[in-house]
Amino acid sequence: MNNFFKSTTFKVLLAVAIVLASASILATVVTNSTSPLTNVVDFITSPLQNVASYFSAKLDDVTGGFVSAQVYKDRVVELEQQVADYQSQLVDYEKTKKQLESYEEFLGVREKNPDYTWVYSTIVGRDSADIFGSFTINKGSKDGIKVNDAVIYSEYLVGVVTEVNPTTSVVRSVLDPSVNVAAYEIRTGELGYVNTVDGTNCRFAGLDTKTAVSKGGIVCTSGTGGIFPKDLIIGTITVVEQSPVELSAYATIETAVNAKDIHDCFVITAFEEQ
Amino acid sequence: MTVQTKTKLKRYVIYGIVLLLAHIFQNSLTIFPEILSVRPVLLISLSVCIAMFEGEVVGAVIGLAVGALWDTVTVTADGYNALFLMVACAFCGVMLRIFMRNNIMTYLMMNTGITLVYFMTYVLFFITARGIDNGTEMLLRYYLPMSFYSVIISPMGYVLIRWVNRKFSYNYIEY
Repeated sequence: MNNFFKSTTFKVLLAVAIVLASASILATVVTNSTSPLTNVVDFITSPLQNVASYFSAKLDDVTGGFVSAQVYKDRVVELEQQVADYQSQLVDYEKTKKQLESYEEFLGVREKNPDYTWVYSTIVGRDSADIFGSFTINKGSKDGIKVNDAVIYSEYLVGVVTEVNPTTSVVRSVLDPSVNVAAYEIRTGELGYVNTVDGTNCRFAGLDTKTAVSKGGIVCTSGTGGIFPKDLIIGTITVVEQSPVELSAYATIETAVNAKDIHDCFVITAFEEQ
Repeated sequence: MTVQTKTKLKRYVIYGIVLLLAHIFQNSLTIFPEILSVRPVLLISLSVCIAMFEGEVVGAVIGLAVGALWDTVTVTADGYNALFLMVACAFCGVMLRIFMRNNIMTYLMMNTGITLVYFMTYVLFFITARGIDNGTEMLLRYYLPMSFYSVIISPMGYVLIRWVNRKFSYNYIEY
């Protein structure tokens, strides 16, 4: 062993090691790059690595052809399942988005009318024999709902509660002939009342024969009578005509919301002017 | 409890489930597509059909129950459905017992007649009598198409009720 440490070979190896170590330290400290040894080794081995990589890629291509049909079949089933999951998630997303939009609209109405007290309800039944779109909601006297409470969807008037049970209530839509709403046209401020004659469109009646209301005008509740709060939108005027039987004019209104198309609504149980 | 009673009980329970589902499909879920803006009325057809198989007394009780169920979602005709279906089902039971055979043709005849009478009286009592204009137009535009739609799909109900009646009948039990 002593002979080895004293030999020329050891001294050369030691010198080379010191040089390489010094070079490595110097390279790391000064240039923050790889050591000369690494560079040298890399220079020598990189063509080999490239060749190996090339053959490896080719080999993968070849072995890829030998994957069994069962593997592909399983993969297809797995991907189909993933697609179904994503589609289901997409449907959920769309539903949630729609619900969120609805809540945002309601929130806007709530912010504009902090005096409203209301109850959220879902429509649970519709009388299929009723042409006027009346419906039943899942909230009743237990939830504070009373007869004549206004029913809204966003800021649009939908109808009025006519029957209250402990857990359900029946709502007549504004398209029902027995529902009359005191209203005004927002541009001219002309007052009148809204009812219906045929169950398809509302009529803004009681206007002056020389009325200034015109097509496109928006009709809102006037709040007179204290049943409906002021400024709930009823609909848009489509045509103005002279009444054949009275000395007045009337406007046909297309309602903003069709009660047959909605699935939930809010019932206003109290408001300031009531 | 005798085998006969048990069989009868099973049959009535199945009738109840079928009628409850029909009520949901008619008044809550929109399972049938809208044609000319109308949806079919299933409860009249099924009640008539059950009355034809079960006779006037059971028919009247079922008509009353179904009508009361329907009345829970109605606005204008509160109590009318129960009354009408009870009388109509009792009438069907009596007609079947005295004058008619029970087959698909007599069923269609009875069902069409009763459905038309229902909607005509509905328009008379709850539209025209309330002073609403255009009652005739509503009848032609809305209620007649609804009647025909209901009648057209009613044979499905007849087939179902006939199957239930035969399957859960004492005479057809295999020992």
